[in-house]
Amino acid sequence: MTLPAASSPQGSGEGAGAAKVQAADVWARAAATGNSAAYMILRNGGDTADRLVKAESDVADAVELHKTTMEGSMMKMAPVENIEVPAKGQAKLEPGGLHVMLIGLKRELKAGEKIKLKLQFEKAGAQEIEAEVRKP
Amino acid sequence: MALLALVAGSLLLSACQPAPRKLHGVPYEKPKPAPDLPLTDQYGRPFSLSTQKGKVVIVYFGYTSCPDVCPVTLAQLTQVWTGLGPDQAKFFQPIFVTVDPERDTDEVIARYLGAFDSAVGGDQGLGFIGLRGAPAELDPVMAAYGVQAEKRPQPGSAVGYTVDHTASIYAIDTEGNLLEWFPYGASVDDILWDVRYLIQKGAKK
Repeated sequence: MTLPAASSPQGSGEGAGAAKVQAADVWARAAATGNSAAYMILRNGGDTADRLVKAESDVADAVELHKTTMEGSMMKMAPVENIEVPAKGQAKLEPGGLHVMLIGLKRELKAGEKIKLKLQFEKAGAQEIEAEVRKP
Repeated sequence: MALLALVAGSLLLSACQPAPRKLHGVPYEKPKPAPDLPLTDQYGRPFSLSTQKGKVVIVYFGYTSCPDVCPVTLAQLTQVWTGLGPDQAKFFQPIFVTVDPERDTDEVIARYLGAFDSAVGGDQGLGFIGLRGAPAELDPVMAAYGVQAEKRPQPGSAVGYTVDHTASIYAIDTEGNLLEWFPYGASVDDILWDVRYLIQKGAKK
């Protein structure tokens, strides 16, 4: 998979703290109301680990980093402090695991549209990305 | 030669019963009548499982503020539904039971399920049934299905609380017997195969 050119980092990326983390295959689940989630692959081309520490979006009242885990047949979900992206490695945010949780949607998310997310990394700084809304 | 093989093949196919394959889920040792779901549907009407005889029913317990595993499962069930095709689709009925009646009002459930219904032909009268009950009504139902749910406060999170819950699905045949369950993560193909098999089996009776 190739990285879309549009995902090149913006904002505070220049200089010593040059952003090395890029988000690919970013999508969010269509939802009429309530909550939704966004998923993506975070790739770190740098030599040091980085962390996603925060995500923001205008479409929801609150945005948090969450993780779903299965213990036996029990599904558990809880917030996480951050999501580590290892050096020269990647972190996968995918259904049934880590996700950006969109809490209290301000409007319906319709399949096919794009929403904006802002990601804040510990080292790579802030990035604005777009997530494609896909069918639930 | 090729034609001959084709003819022979189609004869063989038409003579065949549905393959005597085992079902793909985890079978109950002794299939038993499925425990009733004496709860209220998303339109506020009392529900009973006996109204679904003649259909293959899949029951899932979850909650609408769960943005991750619950919609994945419901989306899988919509794929099963569309995979059945128009003739069999009306003999399949997925049911969502909320484990979070505090937040999931009838209205919330109706809106939540509506998003999935539109994917399966809600305009043709097909749609999820969403059930809700007060804890005193819900608890015995969950116990009968072996479902656990535990409210977990999440201080510092905007979600307020989450509900840890059993994420399995339960398959009921056209006669109302609880036959098998699937763990979270079962494949759509396996579920579809079983639902189709059970519909065909039911049609022969």
